Amino acid sequence: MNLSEEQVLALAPDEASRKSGKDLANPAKWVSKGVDEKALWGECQGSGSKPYQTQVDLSDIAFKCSCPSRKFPCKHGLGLMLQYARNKAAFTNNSQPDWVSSWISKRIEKEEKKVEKQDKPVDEAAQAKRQQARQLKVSEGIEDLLLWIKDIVRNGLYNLPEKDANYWENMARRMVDAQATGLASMVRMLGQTPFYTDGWQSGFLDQLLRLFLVVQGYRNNDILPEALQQDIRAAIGFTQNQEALKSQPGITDTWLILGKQIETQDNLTIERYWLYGNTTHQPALVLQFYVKNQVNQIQALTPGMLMQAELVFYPSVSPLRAIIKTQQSVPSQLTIKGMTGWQQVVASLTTQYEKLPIHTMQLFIVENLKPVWYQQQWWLQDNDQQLMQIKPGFKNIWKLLALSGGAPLHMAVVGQETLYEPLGAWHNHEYKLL
Amino acid sequence: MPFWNNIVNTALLGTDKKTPDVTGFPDDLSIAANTALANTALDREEQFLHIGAMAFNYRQSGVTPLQKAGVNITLCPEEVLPYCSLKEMQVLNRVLDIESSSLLAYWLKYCSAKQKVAAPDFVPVLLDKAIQHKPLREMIMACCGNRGNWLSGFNPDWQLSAITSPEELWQTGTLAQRYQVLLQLRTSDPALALTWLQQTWDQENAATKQELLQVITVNSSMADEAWLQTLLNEKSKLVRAQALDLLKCIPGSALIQQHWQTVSPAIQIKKIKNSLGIPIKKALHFEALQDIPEDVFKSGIEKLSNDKTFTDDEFIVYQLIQYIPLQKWEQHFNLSPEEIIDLFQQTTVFKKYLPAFVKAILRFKDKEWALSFVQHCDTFYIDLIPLLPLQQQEFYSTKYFNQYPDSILNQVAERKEEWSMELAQAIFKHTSKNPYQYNRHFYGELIHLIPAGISDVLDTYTTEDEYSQRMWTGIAVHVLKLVSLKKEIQKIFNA
Repeated sequence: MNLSEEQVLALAPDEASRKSGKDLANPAKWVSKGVDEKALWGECQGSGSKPYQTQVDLSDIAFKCSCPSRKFPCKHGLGLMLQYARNKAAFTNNSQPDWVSSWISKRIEKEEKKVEKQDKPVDEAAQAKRQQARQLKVSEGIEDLLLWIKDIVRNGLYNLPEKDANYWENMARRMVDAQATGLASMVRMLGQTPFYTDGWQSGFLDQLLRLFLVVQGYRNNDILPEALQQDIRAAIGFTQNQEALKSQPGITDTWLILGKQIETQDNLTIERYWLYGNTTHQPALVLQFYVKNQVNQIQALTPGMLMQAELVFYPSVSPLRAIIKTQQSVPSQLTIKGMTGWQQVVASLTTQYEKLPIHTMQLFIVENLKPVWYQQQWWLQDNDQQLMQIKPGFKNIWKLLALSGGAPLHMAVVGQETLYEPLGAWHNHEYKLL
Repeated sequence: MPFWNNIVNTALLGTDKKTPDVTGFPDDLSIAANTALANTALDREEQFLHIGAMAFNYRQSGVTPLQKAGVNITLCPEEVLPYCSLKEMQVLNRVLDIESSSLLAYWLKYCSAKQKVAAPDFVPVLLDKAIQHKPLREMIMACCGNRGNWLSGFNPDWQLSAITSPEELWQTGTLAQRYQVLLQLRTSDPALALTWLQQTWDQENAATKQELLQVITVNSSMADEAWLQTLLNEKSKLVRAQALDLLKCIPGSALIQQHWQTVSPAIQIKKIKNSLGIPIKKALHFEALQDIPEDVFKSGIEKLSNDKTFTDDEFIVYQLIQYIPLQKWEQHFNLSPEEIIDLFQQTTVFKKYLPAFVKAILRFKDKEWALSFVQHCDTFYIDLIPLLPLQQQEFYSTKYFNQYPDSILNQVAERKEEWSMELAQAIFKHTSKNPYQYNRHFYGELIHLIPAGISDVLDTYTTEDEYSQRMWTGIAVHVLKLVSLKKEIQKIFNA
């Protein structure tokens, strides 16, 4: 494992964990610690009599800790990894204790079982029956949704700010009942429109029309190309069997993990990892979900790190979301080739919207951008003096500006249409997370 | 975008009130939109949703960047000094996490001494620290190099730190900044600092006057006297009192001369002779005060004693001694400080004046007299410790720590030099027993004074109850972290 302190801290689920993790990166708090080629482990003295047992599977950076925290990774995991990043020489014990070896072997067994499970025959008739029943439910739900949308359009948007939360939540629940969780999320997003800010109508209408496009897409599913059908199904909430997906051929490349965005919806935490293929110039979005009070061993991707991996993309007319089939970390830095300016970005977006109008955020690497202040806003200016606005409220503007010093930098940005959020920038050939 | 505005307006009013149309639509879009509007199989709402969806995708597909020539950003000048190494920045990162301004100052000191600047990505966080910790502002600006000055031009919160000219800061800065700049000038050029103060004096309000006048205590001299005299007519009572006090700190001032002329005849040396008429020893003799000028009382000297061990005359003398520079007594008696102290100690009548001498020593920061007092006086005055040579400070602070822990802690916290191990151990023995009073923050702010060796003995300190012990254990771990970071700063910068 060759992670820097900054990269370890980027794994933290929130600011409180970062802080606690840093506090625990103190050798005095650790009763024991060790490392071998497979795992990193340590025992941390907490408030109880028995120290917490913290372990990291180094093959894919998976964590486990005996502490009661539901955060992932927990502060002990972060503290242990921070210590290792700072002083590898202090990890002198190379022999796995029983509690580590049993976990590692269980993980190997689980992997093997997964392979066995895939080999079991599937009852295709039952599966088809289930799918038919679900499609019927979704169709009924979609008709209700269309009526609801039409009601909004008929009555006008002007009285929507007065609607209470139930107005949105009832329709979202109806969509959950119809097994269309994707639509439920889209409805909830409508309800989260900042109704008391100027210009909310345009943003609201964008989302309403996206919803309508998904509805129309599903109603006309039969005449759509296969890949677009998959996009519509994904937007509605049909899930893809990940194991089946993993069995498909993927794209092997050296992927740079350019950034991570975290979003919390009720009990669900969604981590968005933005990746970029060095050879293929293919952007990828890897999503990880975890639910509060559910202890998972989730794969930790470290922003700023390079990995040699095979990524399988979800079927789409404009493939973006992907899962990792195989991976291994790559220590060296790479020179990344990006787009030369905003014209290339908008041309690429036009192509994507042509294929998939409901497409939202996209990742771009753009060369030679510099932050400039114009009309009381921060913008990113390319070499052709063309400007795109930085997303209002972008909190790392000063770090970006400090790195730039008024000079252009290659940047990784995520955005759509006219607003972009920088994820990181290359400064002196090194990728710096923002 | 008129076509999009049309869509938004229709949506806002509702299709019940406004029929969807293609007003403002570009030709190519209106052809497609009209097809949807002509589709009688669709109701009005669905027609609107169709043309809305077309307009939405037309808009998002046709986005173009803003072409604007002449929008520029000034280029930050190249750094003259080299950047800190990766390891030096990593240790700064950990220093920033631990939130100890003392440790940050320690890092900044090394960074400046090694003539380096911080990596650009750390500049914003350091500038934020400069807002929180005013005393570190100058050091931070030095370590942020050109990037710091350049960057602070963009953020109003940092702009004051970007002002580099002392004149500009004096004229436009906040009161704290003006005080700081005046203090610096007073240290290097006392006359110019006085001129600056005189130039703006009439425009300042009473509170500002009081604040800025404190600067005159630094390098005060006879050159200040005339102006301070004029301040005795100030409107503000507090400013008048402050000016008077400052005059009492200038050894050659007319006020002190007047005090001296009043008090010096009162205490005389008398030679005591034996039966053969041969002088065998010297003794002090008190003479009643004659014709005390009224101005003496106007300067704050009380006429009547409030202490039953002093007569009214003795009490006036006691008060006046506090304002007399000590060398005047040496000349007056033609004796050394040690001999004078011995004389006063001989009798209870004169011994009671010794605290007044201590006050004079503190007022005039007389280090020679402070040392003599500590060495020759029967009573130990802990207030004198900061005026002693460092070795003596260490010795007496350690010796009297258990007797006066709080006062000595206040003194040693102001030191610039690291504490000796012996003193640090005495301090930790006391502070570890009071983990509520001496918490993590306390150690964090004094880490520059704590010797590294303390980490070897931390586990020897215990508290009285279990709860405090648990708290102290947590603090001890924090202290270990602070000490280890301090050592690392030294090691990395000296590598």
